[in-house]
Amino acid sequence: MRRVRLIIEERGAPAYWNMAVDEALLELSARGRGIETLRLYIFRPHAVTIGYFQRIREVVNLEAAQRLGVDVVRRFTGGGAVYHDPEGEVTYSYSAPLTPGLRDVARSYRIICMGIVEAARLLGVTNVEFVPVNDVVANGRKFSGSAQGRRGEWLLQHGTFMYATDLDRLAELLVAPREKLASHGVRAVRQRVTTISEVLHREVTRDEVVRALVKGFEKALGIELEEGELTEEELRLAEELSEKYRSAEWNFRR
Amino acid sequence: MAVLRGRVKRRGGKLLEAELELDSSCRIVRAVISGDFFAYPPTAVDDIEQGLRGCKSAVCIRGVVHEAAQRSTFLGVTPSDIEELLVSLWRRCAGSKGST
Repeated sequence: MRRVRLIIEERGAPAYWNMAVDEALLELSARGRGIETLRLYIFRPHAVTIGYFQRIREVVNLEAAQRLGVDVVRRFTGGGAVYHDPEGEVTYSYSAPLTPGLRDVARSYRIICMGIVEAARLLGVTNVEFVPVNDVVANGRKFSGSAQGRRGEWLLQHGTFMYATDLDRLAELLVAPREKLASHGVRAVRQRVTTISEVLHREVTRDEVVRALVKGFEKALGIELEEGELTEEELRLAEELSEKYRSAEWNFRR
Repeated sequence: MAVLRGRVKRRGGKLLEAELELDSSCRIVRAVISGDFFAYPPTAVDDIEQGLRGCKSAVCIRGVVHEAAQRSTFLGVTPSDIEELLVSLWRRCAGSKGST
């Protein structure tokens, strides 16, 4: 079985740092110095990340974000706006070489998101499935969304796992156009999302989630995870990239 | 100078939005393509936005999108979705001026 580095950062870090680390992992991989890695991390303080192509003022309630002390950072990956609650959400990122199985973009989302599906099953969720393009839903409601970047012969996919996210706060911070909600058959953001605690009618803890994600990804990807740390080179590049994620020029570029 | 905006959301797909700023002869001065879709590489979208500057016909718009689409992969939207949205916005300007 293939051994893959596992990095668990449960203490939490600001959004600009988390995005810088993920981009550093992908960038170094593209330069031929990649290490296949599953990284599990927390955003602290709480944050909203938005997709590379999104217009910040149209998808985030910036007044609410400022009032609530929520960081807002643009990702280097596409997809939609996400609320990261330090007390209710674990983010994963998986970086890997583009093996034949992962080369097709749509297929690779499905393969990697099966790690989320398996983790939810391990926690006791029965009605859970991957819904293309990039969602995982339980009882028909989304609790996980993913986004993938590619450089050279590598990919990095990151995504959420909401186990106890404050969904009212999420609904206050994220702005979704009517067309998007209607296409999902709902009228409000709150109707479209759920958490694993809500699904299971019990308080699911972060420890349980981290353990389930480790086992879930091992099973889905046929890998054996071994705990490790970021290298000096990765930390150095993340430090450089973090300037971008702190800049208004980047975050307000659209 | 006119600013026209539009959006498309297909079932099972992602949201696609576009904003075109056009001069008095319906020449594109600025284009912004946004949404929660995916593009590989993402710079394909930047290339489309830059390539559209100066376009003043549907043929030009389609050509710019087609060229970028040949060296990129979109997920959640198709190059046709982008083309159609941009052309429909441009036609709102051209139709009001009597050009095609």
